[in-house]
This record gives sequence, structure tokens and C-alpha cells, in this order.
Amino acid sequence: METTTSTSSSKRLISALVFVVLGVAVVGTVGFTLHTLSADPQKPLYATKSSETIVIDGKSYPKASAVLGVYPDKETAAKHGYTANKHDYVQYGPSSHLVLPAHTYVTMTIHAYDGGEELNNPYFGKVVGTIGGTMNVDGVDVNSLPSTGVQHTWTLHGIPSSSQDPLFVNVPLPIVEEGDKGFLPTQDPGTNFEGHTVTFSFITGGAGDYVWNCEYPCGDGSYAKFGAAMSAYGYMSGKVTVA
Amino acid sequence: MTTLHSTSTHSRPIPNPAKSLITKLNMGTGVVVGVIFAFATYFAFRPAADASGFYNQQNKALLGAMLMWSVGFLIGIGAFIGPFRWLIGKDLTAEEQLYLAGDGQGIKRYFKYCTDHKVVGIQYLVGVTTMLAVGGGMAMMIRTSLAVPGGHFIGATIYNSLVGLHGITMIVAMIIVATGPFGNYIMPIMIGARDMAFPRLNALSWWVLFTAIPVLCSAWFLGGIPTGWTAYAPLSIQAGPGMNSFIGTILIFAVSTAVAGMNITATVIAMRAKGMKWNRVPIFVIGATMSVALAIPAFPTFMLAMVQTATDRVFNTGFYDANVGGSGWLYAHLFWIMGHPEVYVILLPGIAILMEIAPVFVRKPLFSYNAAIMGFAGIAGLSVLVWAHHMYISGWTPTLNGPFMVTTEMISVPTGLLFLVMLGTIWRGKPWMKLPMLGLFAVMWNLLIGGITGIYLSDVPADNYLHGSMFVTAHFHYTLMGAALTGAVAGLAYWFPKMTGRMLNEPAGYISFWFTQIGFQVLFLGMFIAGAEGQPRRVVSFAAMYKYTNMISTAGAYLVGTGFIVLLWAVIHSWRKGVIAPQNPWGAKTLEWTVPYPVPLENFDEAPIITSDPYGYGKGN
Repeated sequence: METTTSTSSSKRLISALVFVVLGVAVVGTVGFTLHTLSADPQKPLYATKSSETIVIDGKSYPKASAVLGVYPDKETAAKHGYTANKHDYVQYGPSSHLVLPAHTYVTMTIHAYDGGEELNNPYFGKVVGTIGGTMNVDGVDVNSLPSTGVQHTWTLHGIPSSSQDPLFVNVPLPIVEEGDKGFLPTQDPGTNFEGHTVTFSFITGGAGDYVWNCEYPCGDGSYAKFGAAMSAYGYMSGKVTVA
Repeated sequence: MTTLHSTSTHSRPIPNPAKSLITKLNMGTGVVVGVIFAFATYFAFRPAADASGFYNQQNKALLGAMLMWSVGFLIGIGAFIGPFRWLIGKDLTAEEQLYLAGDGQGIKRYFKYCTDHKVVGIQYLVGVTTMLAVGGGMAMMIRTSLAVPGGHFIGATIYNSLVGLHGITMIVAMIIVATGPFGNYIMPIMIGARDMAFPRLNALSWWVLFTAIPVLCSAWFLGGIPTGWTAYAPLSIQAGPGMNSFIGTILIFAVSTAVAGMNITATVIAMRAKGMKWNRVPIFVIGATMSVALAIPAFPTFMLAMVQTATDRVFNTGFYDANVGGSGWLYAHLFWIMGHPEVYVILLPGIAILMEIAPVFVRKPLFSYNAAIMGFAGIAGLSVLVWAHHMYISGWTPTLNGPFMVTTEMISVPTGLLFLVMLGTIWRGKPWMKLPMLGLFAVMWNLLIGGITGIYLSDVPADNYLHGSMFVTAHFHYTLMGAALTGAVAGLAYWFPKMTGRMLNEPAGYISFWFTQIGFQVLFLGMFIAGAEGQPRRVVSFAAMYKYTNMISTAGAYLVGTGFIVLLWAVIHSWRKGVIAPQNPWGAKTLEWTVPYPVPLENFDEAPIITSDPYGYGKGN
């Protein structure tokens, strides 16, 4: 009789343990599925490091560069050699995750191909956080754009943290009108594509995680144009890892 | 409780409803008809990709499909056969009514439109357990994502949807967690009734609720519910197609609660056994009735809020759109006129269960039955006058903040009465420390913390700082989970023998209890600290200064999760293989313990007559 009771107790214990393990496994599997779905849609884009250095305010910094494009749709992205994200939304490419070196003079180039309407907040029409407080648009240095002349912004800022250096950069990208011709600085100016080329530089601090996003509401009709591309990660928002 | 008639069983004729349609309808036919209705509606209204007003039309098609799914399911399962037959002058025969009651159908009756209140009670129990498990699983993922700063585990979009879905799933489950299973299974027997006042409506309330579950789940495939469970306008007006799932769920759920609330209220008023005067009604019945009676006026406002949200989304009516003369405050009012009474709709049955348990396990009469009634009535009455304390910082009529602060703080008086009743009952008693009794002590601790922190939040200056922080999240979890859910679990442990015929596995119950209660304190005390330091709620990424409190909270959440998995195992295992329960394992005096298991179809073969109150312990009767 004792043996039967003992066997029964062991079975109960084993079945309880198995149940707990199964429960944890079910929750864990769903969690990791969501984790996978949340992963970066593209591989990170690493900035190209240069052997050159630059001295600013008496301090020497190594140089690095990265090139992005902002495309109104998948077709335009494909035309310029970029395999776009799943949805046919406006989007930055080739990656929403940039990896930049720490304590470096970074030069970013953004090829912008989209139209636009008006910024909600004119503040984001200003160039902020770049070297000299300016950006170069198709060869001309400017420090701001009118709020009705911005197609998108590339706005980099920190996540709430007291353990990393602050970093804030805001660059408005000018609207592309019919006949506008952007140029590729390294190629033949003025003849390459319908759009604009915007170049700017900033200096990174220490290692840390940052996010970037567009401050021009360019989603679809939902959420007052903050839906779709604006609320789906990896289109008009992403992250920057300074390493 | 003394009765003059003892119960006995006798055999019933096996019903033979011949080839009536009702014998062929079940959950399967309901699903088929519901899906057909849903797809037909969607394809009838779906917009062309380039249609003007695409989003309005898409909302119309999706919401219409969801509501027609519910209607189709109910037709398919046979919910309207009775009324239809009555309308055409061919009312159901006695045999068909007996068949509808599930007599002699074994486990199949749980998948049919069954009018037996005990079947409906079990359906609610299984449904609520499933919803709590799903909602709890989502809570685990939320806490995992919040374990470290940066929100790396789950992306922000999915996190927002998880928070919204966790919230609404748990709120729906908690509203019915006690009145669903125990209000349906136990309450009619407790008052000596043969069934509910309206058995068909009783079945309808469950199956209507059932149809809301797939509608809520559809949110996952439509982009989620990114507004949180409050679904504030104009966010909800501008949100994507997943918002239709939220609206559909609430519209369907409101019908279910209205039907259930009216039925329970009518049953308690009209179906009590002879001699069961109001001062002899078991306290759980009083608490449950107060709860559902409170829900009857409260929930229609939420339903109205959702109807207006739907018309704003489909027809651009602009109720909540300030651009065309609407107001977001209108939504906030309608929501919180439901939202705060809803807290007490959830809480009162949980407290009432513990008041039912305390005299049984201390072997003393309930301390001041009248004070308990006054406590319940005071809370129910005041709870409809406090809603705007959720809107202190919204800017709506700041001059009314003071009056709302007063009414809110006044609720602590009737709440204190309930505490007094529980304390007085166990005072100088020798508690029989079984699992239900442990629940009583846990709830008194949790409700104390939930109540005191609620006073801070009702205070206008303090709320200016704490509003929207994790402090609020911890506070309402202490009341809803720490008190109401723990009370419901204590009720499950108490009535499990009557509902299943078996005893709940005690060792597993104790393990579950200590895991959940210790984990709960770790989880939410940590959250109080984070909230008091300023961590905002509903935000996926938080500052490094909150990392330790969040890590501690997540560790507590894992303990709670483990405890609930153990409880789930205990319930399933005990239901299948547990020790056979005696008819009255606790030696309680209420009527449900006078009937055998399985409880006969009409509960009592001879109607009981009540001659004393149900808590005459230590009085020699």
C-alpha cells in the first residue's frame, strides 16, 4: 500500500514538473516568436572607417562615413538598387540600424527622393547638432528649411539613460520638385537622379544606444499620418549603435 | 443554515426530443454559421484598394464582420430557437426544454446551448481560466521585455499591442472571474433555487461572451491594439484596423454582461427559497448581486463610448474629434463612468467570497452581517461618483477636482467596514488554515496596500506627480490581482469539491499560493518604487536608473507565473484524478453543501425552507 502511495506521489510530482516545464515552454516559445518578429528587418549598416583624421577645436578625430537613401516606395528603392522592406511604405535604406564608431567624425550622405507637405513642428526644419550647424544640399550649405519645404527628417537622439553621452542631430531633407536634380558627390554632379543629396557631419561620443526617426508625419491616413511607415519599426525609424 | 427538508435524488425520464433541430446544433455548427456570416459581411462591404474613404470602409467591413460573426454563431448554436418557436406559436416541448438543459448528455452539453446553470458555471470557469492564462502569458512577455533598460526583447510596436491586449483580456476575465463560475454554478443553489430566473438568457450570456474571444484574438492579425486598454480618443479614432477588434469585443461583451447581470439580479430577487429573508441571504450572494447590479448601469456607457468610436471611424461623425466640435473629454467621461465602478464590479465578489469562507474556517458567525451589507452598498453607491479622479490632470474642470477627491477618499470608509467584518470574524478565532483561508489573509494584506496607495492617487497634488506612472500600475494590480483574483482563487479552492466532486490537490495548492503571493509582493513592491521614482507606464524603454527595480519586478513576475502554472496543474490534475470529495468537506452551513455531487438537474428535489441565518457557527445549530 505504501509503495502504491509512493508511486502515485512520484507520478504526481513528475506530472506537475512536466506541466510547469511545458507551461514555461509555451510562454517562452510565444515570447521568442515575438522577439524574432521584433528583430531588425535588415542587417546593420556599418559606417566605413577612413584612415584620415580631422582636428576640431584642437582635438583629433578619426573619420568615417555612411550613405542612406529615403525612398517614397519599393519601386523607387528597387530602381536605386535597394531591396526594400516588406511593406510598400516610404522608407530609409539600406538599413534602419546604423553602427558608428565612437569618438569619430562621421559624415553622412542621404539621397532623398520623396515629396512632402508641411512639418507639424517647424523646429525640425532646423539643422541641429552637425558640425557648423549646417548641412550641404546639392552643394550648397544651409542651416534650415521652411516647414513647407521638408520631405522627411533624419533625427538622431538618445534613449533615456544616464550612462551614455548625449547625442542629438536633426537634419531636414528638402522636398523633391519636378525637375530637381540631385548629384552624387563622387560622380558626375547634377545629372544622376531626380532628388537631392544632403551631406552633413557630426562627432560621436562614447559607446551607447541611440534611436533615429523621421519627424515629418509621412505614414498613411491612420494616426494622423503617424501610422503605417511611421509606426512600423524599420521604415522611418531605427537605431544607431555607437560602438 | 437550517432547512426543514433534506434532499434526495430520483431518476428522471430520458428526454426524447425526437428529431428536433436543437439536437443537431452545437459549437461546431455555430462556428460554421458564424464564419459564413463574417465573410459574407466582409466581402459585401470591403472597399476597393483605391476607394475614397478607404479606411472608413475598411473599418465598416471589419467591424460588421466581427459583429455578424457573433450573430451567426448564436444562430448556428441554436440560441434563438426558443424565442423563434415562441414567436411562431410552437413553443418548445417539455422534452425539448429538458434536452436544452443538457439532461443525460454527458460532456457534450458543455459544447451546446445548455441552459443548466451548473453547465454555464463550468463553461465560465474554463473560459475565464483560459483567458487568465493567455493574459498572464502576455504579462510574462511584457515583464521580460522590461527586465533590462532598452526594451530589447520585444519591439515597441509589438510591446504596445501586448500591453493593450493584456489589459483588455485581463479586465474582461476579471469582470467575470467570480460571478461567472460561482455566480452561475453556486449562487442559485445557495439561495435554494432550481435554476436561474432566465435559463436561456443564462446560456446566452456565456455564448455571447464566447464569441467575443475570437474577435479579441483577431487584433493580433490586424495590427494589434496600440492604444492600451483605455482606448482613448482620438488615438482610437486614428488607429489601424486592429482597433475594430477592440470595439467589437467591448460591444459583444457589454451585451453579455447586461444579460448576465439582469439574470443574476432577477434570480436573487425572485428565486430565493422560502424563509430566506434578505438578512439570511449568504453574503457571497449579496456581494455578487451588488457587483452585477453595479455593472448594469456602468457598462452601457462603455458600450455607448464604443458605438461612438465606431461611428467616428466609419462615418466620421466626430463625437471625439475637436476639429468638428467633438471632444476627447467626452470619451474620457464615458470610459471612466464605467471604468471606476468596474473596479468594484471586480472587487466586490472577491471580498464576498472571503466573507463566505471566513466563518466556515474560523467556526464563528460572520462579524456584523449588517456592516458588510452597508460596506458593499456604500462602495457600490459611491463608486459611481468618483470617475473624474482619473481625469485630474486632463484639464477638465479643475474646480471639480476637489469634490471628486472627497468622494473618492470617502470610499475608504465602506472599504474599512469590509475590513472590519473580515477582521472581526477571524478575531480571536482559531483558523483552520486550509487553502481558502490562506487566501483570506493574503487578500487582507494586498487590499490594505492597494487601498492605502489608492488614497495617495485620489489626492490631487499627489496624483499630479504619480499619474501615468508605474505606481498606478502597481496600485491597481494590488486591488484587482492581489485582492480580487486571490479572492476568486480562494473561492475556487473552497467550491472546487462542489463543482467537480473532487478535492483540490493541497500540496500543489500551497506551493502555488506561496509562489504567487511572494512573487506578487516582489513584483509590485518593486514597481511601486520605480513608479514613485518616476518611471512612466506603457513605455517599452526606460532609463538606466530604474534597472534594479525592474529587474526585481521581473524576477517576481516569474515567481507568480510559476505559481499559476502549478495552480493550473493542480486544477486539471485534481479534476481528473483528485481525491473524491465528501458532500460537505468544510462542514459549512450554506445550502450548496446540502446537495450531492453530481448536483441533480434541478438542484433540489424538494424545495428547501430556511429557518435560520447561514452563519450560525458556535450557536449549537
